[in-house]
Amino acid sequence: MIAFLNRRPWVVTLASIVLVLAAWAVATYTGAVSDLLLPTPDELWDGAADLVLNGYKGYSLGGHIGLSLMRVGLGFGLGTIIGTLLGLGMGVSSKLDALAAPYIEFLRPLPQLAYLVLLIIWFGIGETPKIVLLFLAALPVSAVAARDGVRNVSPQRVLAARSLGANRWQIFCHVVLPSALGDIFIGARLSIGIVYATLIAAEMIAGASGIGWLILDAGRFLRSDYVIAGILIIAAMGIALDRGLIFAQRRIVHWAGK
Amino acid sequence: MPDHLGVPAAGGDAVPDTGAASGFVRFDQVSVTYGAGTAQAVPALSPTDLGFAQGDFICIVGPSGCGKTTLMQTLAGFLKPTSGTVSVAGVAVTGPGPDRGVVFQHAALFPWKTVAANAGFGPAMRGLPKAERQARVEYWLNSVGLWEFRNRYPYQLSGGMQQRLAIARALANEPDILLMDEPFGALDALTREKMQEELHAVWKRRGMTVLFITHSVDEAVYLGTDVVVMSQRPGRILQRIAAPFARLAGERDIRRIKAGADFVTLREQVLALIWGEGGG
Repeated sequence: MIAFLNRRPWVVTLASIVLVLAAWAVATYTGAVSDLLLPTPDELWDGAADLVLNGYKGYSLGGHIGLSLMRVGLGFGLGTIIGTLLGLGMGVSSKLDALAAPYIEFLRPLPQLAYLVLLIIWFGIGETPKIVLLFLAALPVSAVAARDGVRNVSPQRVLAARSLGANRWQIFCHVVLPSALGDIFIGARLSIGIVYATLIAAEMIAGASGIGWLILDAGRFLRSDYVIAGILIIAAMGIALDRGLIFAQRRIVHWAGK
Repeated sequence: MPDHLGVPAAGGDAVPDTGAASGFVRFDQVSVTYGAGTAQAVPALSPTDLGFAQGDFICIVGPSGCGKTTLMQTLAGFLKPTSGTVSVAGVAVTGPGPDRGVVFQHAALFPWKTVAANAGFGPAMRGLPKAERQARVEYWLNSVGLWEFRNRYPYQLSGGMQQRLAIARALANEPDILLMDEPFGALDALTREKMQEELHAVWKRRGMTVLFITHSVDEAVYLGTDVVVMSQRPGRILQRIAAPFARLAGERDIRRIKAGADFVTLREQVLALIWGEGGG
């Protein structure tokens, strides 16, 4: 029996999911847990179907998801691109590192909510503060990852390239940059996690759109069916984003770990 | 006016004397101390003189940490000597350059580039015409038996194939001098002997100069036209012994050479030098 399960771990996963779903059904259908706190399975199904068919307060469900993805995409995209470029520069030039490191090190451990208020004061309540918040969440993580990637380059490969006649710029393009790609991707995965976690905070800034806002707003009206449907959607989006990055990582940095 | 023309000629006459004595590659009182000038200064190489001619196959052998890699790195231009100078064809070495190809103990290939792109790296960086680059890649990959793997990546090759690619990469740049730092150290005995034979064949064909570092006396005596034996740290040259077997490469089978009485005698002679030093 144990050997059987060791060979088929998915059976254990499946059993675990079935067990939780069954416990949920029993707890809600018997009335042990009020459906104000936790909807029954068919209430959740109806709530989710209602969201899909009718949308929520002015936007279709796809509209909410699209706006959230746009914010994540812009914040993460800009933060990662600029952070990576900055980090590459910091890895190559100790002067640039000395210049930028204090701000990066200050920003990195700072909870995003700590400066959220300031962003609202500076940028108002439109899309700008939301995207800037996500941008600032992605930037330091990407910068540190790229800097470490440059510093982790094998000195022997650099010497080999110099012995083969490569100049400084060629060494950067053909040796340092590809060598740092592995760390850059690890940084990107870390940063998308942080950006995603910050999304809810970003959508708390006055506004009426986005999947994070949908969850917050539904919570205010005790619509636990909408809240849970929203959580499931946001989780699925998160998994899809991470898997997308893993896919890109395997295609681009195909040599890593081999 | 005729006087004016005569001056440079007279000045030039003084040069050939030292030039002839210097050899193609010359180490002049080269010493290396790591962390020189600090409390933790570690002398790695005692002041060393060594010179060799074009086409020589110099094997440096000695115990671990004897400074043989340090010596090679000063010629590669990776390491600046604490004192003394290293020169090639009378020109002082100031940094790495494509005239001196290097093969490392661990291949140090570029895993993000294909086998062909690795082999063609030097010619590509130096901006050689595409046709010339492709011709060299094809020639050298064929030489080391990797042409059919040209579109693979280094991690898809075995250890021996990776080392052959590292050699092809160095040779595709057509360096005057090939520096090899225990290149076969990580290979199994069978692959190692095969690589020794292949290296000899390439060396004969190209007529280049090789500086080969190893801690295997067997390998040094078989491969080298000269075996340079070094002492323990801080390294110095104990003796330089001419070895005849490199010239026989291709005429006689490697196993027959290594089993011959003259080979065994020379090998034991070198071993005795190293052991004698180790005991004292």
